[in-house]
Amino acid sequence: MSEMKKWYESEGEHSDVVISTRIRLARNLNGYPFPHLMNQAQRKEVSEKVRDALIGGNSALRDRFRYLEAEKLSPVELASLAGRHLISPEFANDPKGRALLLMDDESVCIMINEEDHVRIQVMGSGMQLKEAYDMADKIDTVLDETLHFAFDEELGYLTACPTNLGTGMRASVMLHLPASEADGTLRRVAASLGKVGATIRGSYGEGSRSTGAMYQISNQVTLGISEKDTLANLTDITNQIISLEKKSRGQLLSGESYQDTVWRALGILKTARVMNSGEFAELYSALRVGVAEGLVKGITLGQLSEAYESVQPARLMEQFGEEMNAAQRDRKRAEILRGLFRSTDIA
Amino acid sequence: MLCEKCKKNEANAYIKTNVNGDVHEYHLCSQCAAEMQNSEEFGSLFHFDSLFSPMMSGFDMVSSLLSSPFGSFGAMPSLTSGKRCAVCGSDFNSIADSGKVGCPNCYTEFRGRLAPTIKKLHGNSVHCGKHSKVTTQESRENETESLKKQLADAVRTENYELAAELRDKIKAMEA
Repeated sequence: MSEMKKWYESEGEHSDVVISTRIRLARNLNGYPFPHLMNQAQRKEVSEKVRDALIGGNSALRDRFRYLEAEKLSPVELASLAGRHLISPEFANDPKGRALLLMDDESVCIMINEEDHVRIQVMGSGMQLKEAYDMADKIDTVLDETLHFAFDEELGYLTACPTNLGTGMRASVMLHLPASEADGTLRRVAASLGKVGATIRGSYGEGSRSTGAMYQISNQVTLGISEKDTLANLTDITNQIISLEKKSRGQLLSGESYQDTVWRALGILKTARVMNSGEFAELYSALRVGVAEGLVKGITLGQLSEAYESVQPARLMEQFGEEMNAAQRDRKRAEILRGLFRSTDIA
Repeated sequence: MLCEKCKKNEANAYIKTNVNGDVHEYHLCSQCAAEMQNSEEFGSLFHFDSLFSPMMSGFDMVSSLLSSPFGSFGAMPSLTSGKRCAVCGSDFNSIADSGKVGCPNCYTEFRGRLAPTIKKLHGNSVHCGKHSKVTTQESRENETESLKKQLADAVRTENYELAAELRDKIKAMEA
């Protein structure tokens, strides 16, 4: 992969609470079945048309993209892309006839022949809904010049699944909400989010381990509401949740016990010889609060995000050998983390 | 422990979902877990079985063959009238079965039959927001064409009031 600084290595707005932003636009070409009904020849045709519309066009964007045929990538490369949320696990599991266009800093990944012919995805660090949408919009406009996406005046952009009709847009923010999760604020708010057109989802965990208090908030409705209003609505909701989390953090940090949790986490990260991904998720959550609230010095939130990405299982295998088993990964993970946290200290 | 979903493989993944405060816990095999993670992470908010269910109830009865066969078979001819999409060859049954529309043209071909599902998902909404540039132009041209035809008809039938109205509309659209 390219040496350019990746999007997640920088810090966006509200990065003490907002981990990342993502915009996805679903688009399709007239005259072809949707991907689940396409044959290999049609898949190839559509892939090449999309590739040529972007890379063959005159847009300034074209030099920043690489075209990758999914079936030519190794399972570990696919898993690593999926781990970084650049492609869906479903795309990674069934790469045949699929392709992607990846931007140099990995902030844009266009999946070709996933559920829809084209899925433009833009990622940003922190709260960057407007910036991410503007980029997605720009790419969409460039592609539309030659591809003439399937569109209906009443139904909007036509998609394989009717849930995405209209704007075809799913906007989401990944939030780190340990304090409002702990004091029950989040549970109260979550129940009312559906009424204002948003969905909140908890992240995933394995076993009974903590999921690290990561939550994703996204828009529910795509038809009858413009992109602009969707983003404004989601921004309002997110800002409210951010202020609730900050209030809860104030409470949480006023006692000694959370400081103790943060500093213990730092101690373990600096010294552990074996660390599985579940334990890391839990420590990471505590440490993120510690860095955001000034309890830990010597590392930034951006470096912390980078550390998080670098010790994900597929990433370790991509860098240190595909034959690594779980035990070897746990030792490697601990080793990398000890190095990264060596110069950190309690503030 | 067996996977709760496929009930075939050993469950080796634990997934806890929390959608708007509604918490569910699942013990799944890695394959089912990956599928689920995909649908959650990438925003398919609905499972299609449930999505199409009001329209599908007739078929459920047919497939079970236990409930009144006459009632359900009675519904069959209208539901399987054999109309197929000219572009992808899908009929409405295959769309309802897979939960996915066949191609963009299916939305025109089966507009009426898809309408209840779309309404259930999105209410009575009409698209607002970004328009595909070329399609919008084309559709505007089509609209103007159709207004021009109506204008010619109005002039022929000496309905001058309507003709004046249409002329103004066309002028405004071409401006």
